[in-house]
Amino acid sequence: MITREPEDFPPPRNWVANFGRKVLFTFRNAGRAILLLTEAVANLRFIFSPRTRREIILQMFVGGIKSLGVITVVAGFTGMILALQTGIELRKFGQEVNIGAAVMVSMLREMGPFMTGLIMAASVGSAYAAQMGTMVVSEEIAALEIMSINPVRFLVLPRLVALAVMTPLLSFYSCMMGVLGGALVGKTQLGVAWVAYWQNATRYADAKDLYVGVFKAFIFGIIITIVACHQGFSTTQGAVGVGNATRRTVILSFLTILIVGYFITRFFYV
Amino acid sequence: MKQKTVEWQMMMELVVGAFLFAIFVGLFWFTIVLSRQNLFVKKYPVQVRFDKIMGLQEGDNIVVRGMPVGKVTDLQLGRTMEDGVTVVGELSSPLQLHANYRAIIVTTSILGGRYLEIREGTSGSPSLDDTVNLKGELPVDLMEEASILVHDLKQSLNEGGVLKNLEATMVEIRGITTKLNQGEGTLGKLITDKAVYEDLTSITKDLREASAQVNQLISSVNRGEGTIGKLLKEDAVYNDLTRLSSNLVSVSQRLNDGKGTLGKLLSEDDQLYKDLSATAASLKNITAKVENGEGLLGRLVTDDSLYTDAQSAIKEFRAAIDDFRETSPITSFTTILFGAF
Repeated sequence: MITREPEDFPPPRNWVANFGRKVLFTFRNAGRAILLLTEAVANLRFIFSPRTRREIILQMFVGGIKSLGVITVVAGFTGMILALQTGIELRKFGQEVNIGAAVMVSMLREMGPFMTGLIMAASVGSAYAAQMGTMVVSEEIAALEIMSINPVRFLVLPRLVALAVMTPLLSFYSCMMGVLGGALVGKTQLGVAWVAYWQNATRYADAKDLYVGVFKAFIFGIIITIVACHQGFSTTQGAVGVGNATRRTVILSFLTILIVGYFITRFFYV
Repeated sequence: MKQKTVEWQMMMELVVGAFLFAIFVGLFWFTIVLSRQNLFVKKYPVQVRFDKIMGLQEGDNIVVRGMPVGKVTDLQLGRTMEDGVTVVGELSSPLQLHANYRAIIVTTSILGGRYLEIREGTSGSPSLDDTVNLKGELPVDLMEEASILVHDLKQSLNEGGVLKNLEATMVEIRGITTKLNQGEGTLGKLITDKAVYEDLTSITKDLREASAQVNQLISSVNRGEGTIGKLLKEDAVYNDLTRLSSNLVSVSQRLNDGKGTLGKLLSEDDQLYKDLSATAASLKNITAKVENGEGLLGRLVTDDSLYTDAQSAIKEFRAAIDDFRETSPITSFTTILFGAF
């Protein structure tokens, strides 16, 4: 049940009560988000229904393909910056050929999934939150529930699947763009030959780096969808509430991506 | 309107599908590249047992003749200490090992990282079958070696008296430097006294000039000038010397053989030497007698009266001759005069 009765709590008596209430609300929201995810996963069996499939492809197109441009630019320039900064320092020791390894490992392990997550949270997650929020304030969600249409299955499931699939793929794509940008800087600014760059890049990275990065991006895709949908469904107070929901979605997604990213890295590499 | 929606839907599905396909192909290819696995190349397994492996890991390189030819694929810990650790690897090319092969774990750098190096052994040594279980050598643990070195150094410093010796040496060095600063001794004067420095400069200048002269001399010799130059450059001088040497050999040979006077003198037969000695003794005897004024010669040498008598006799003889010379015309005239009668 997404639609809830408005809550009316008495104002807190002091700052301790206020703080305690915020902590409790945070826990409650986290719990609601996880329940939303659980319900979406429980509805996974419907992903092959024609309507859901079409919706998934639409969301993949809107959330993934339309983000290719921004991801290309951001990832390409990130790789170029990484190569340039690392190369300038390495050149002092005559080791600029090693920028390939630095860029490849950084992009695969951390920068690729992290940047993709941030871009998706900022562009797609905020759009999801705004869309859900608008539907809530215009009581479309309530209408769906009245018609016995499950909003989670109808709205959350396609977006969850679309982003869970597209984020890892876009992460890999951003890694490739970053490596390509690094190679460009290596060739033009640091005099590192293409072949030397590529050989060095593939010598130090391994399949684990690639797949841990892809796994991270997969988790980030799920986080972005659930945070965005939950914030959208929690929207109150009309248009202002939609704006707040969008803002909270971006902030919460960023923080969650950072924190979860750290723990995934720690789990696989320490 | 519906047709347009269908077309849009189809286009969208096509783009999404193409993107997914492209990314999955990329992922597959990249997986192969990063895992460094070539699915179409035959692999040759290798197993080496070590007592300990010093942190060698799965995925580390196997190197033969400095070239990476495989990867460590598995590490198996033996049940007991004696079983050690079995390192399993895959090689991209077969190896022909000989009895004196070596398998060593090598540290890549001081910062860490290791690889397994296999040295095949010399071809003169018997070849090994592929089924032979290889035995690896204990790797050198740089940290352990460094720790032992530090311990030994510390021990020698503290217990071996090195520290005390160093302290004593430092005291002596301090004394020497103090003297140097005060200008004592030759070195001290060299440091503090400008005159010594100037003397040294002058000596250096002289040496430089002498060196230039020597160089000039060597140049002259090289050009074949002078006796030494000719000796070094001209064959005629060399030939003369050779001849001289040959003659000396011949002379020495004659001397050795006792030929000639000198040879006889040097020969084992002492007759000539004895004769000469006897002659010398006689001469000595005669000269002694002369010195003692014995005999005519001795008196002649030692007695002045004999000399005086002889001188007066000569004077008288000369006077007689003069008289005769003065009277000879009269005599001749008288003879002629009276001869006519």
